[in-house]
Amino acid sequence: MSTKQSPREIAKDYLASLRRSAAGEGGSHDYLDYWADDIHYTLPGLWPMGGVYESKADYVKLIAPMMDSNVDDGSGGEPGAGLYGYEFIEEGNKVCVLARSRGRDGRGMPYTNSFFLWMEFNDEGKLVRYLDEADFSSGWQAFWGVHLE
Amino acid sequence: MTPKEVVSEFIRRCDAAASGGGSGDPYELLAEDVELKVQGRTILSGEYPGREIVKMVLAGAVAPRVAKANVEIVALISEGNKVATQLKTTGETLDGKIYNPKGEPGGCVFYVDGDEISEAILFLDNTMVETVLLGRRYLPPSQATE
Repeated sequence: MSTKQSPREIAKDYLASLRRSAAGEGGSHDYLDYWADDIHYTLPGLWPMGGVYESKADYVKLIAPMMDSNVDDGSGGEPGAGLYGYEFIEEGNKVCVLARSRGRDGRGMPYTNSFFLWMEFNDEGKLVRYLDEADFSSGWQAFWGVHLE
Repeated sequence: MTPKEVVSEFIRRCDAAASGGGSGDPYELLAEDVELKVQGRTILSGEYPGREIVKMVLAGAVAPRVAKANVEIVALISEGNKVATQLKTTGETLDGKIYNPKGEPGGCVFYVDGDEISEAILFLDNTMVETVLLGRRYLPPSQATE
């Protein structure tokens, strides 16, 4: 990560970091190195992880445990899993990324989703505003086992 | 118009149409062969090829459930003919359910050709779509039916 990098370049490095975490390489939360301590993180939806989090510490306290227990299921990672960006729209210190993800659901079956990521960086190249939108209805069903009636 | 201006005007017209006032037809800013994709796995998700299908199938499916709605741009950036937006969509269903009471943003990426939108990829809060718009509910695993 470098302040000489463009938002697009930092975002690509960030996605690679997420993939390493999903693959079980390195620390499971190494991607948080890209986050500023006072990040404003929005994870929309009525599901257990949904909300607006005002710091990295909030994420570590409230969301990271659910990532570990429900989304990553403690299996130690899967090679090739994670987020892959296919569209990057950059202006100033912001970049919007469209991405596809691959992983496994709570039953161990293959699972995919589509993401809209909005990232804003500070002068140090750290994420300060981050919108993480995807189909969290299917995520809730896949990782918590709920069903729609 | 610049791509940003086209998208801003389109959202303004969508808001006016959804809230029952204002002027301008939003569909005039969609190319006749526009390709709209709604992400996810709800009944609204999928591909809507062409202006007529966007209007008659997607909007036609949503309209009977909606009493009033508003849509506004929270943030907008562009690069070339591509425009990324954060959109705040709020509203109320005919049976009085409030859609997106916290005003959380969703996302939409637009591709603009001249003064028309040629493609759009829409990310809605699908938990809100399922529960508020479509009246469904999530059951815990223990209550699932086989």
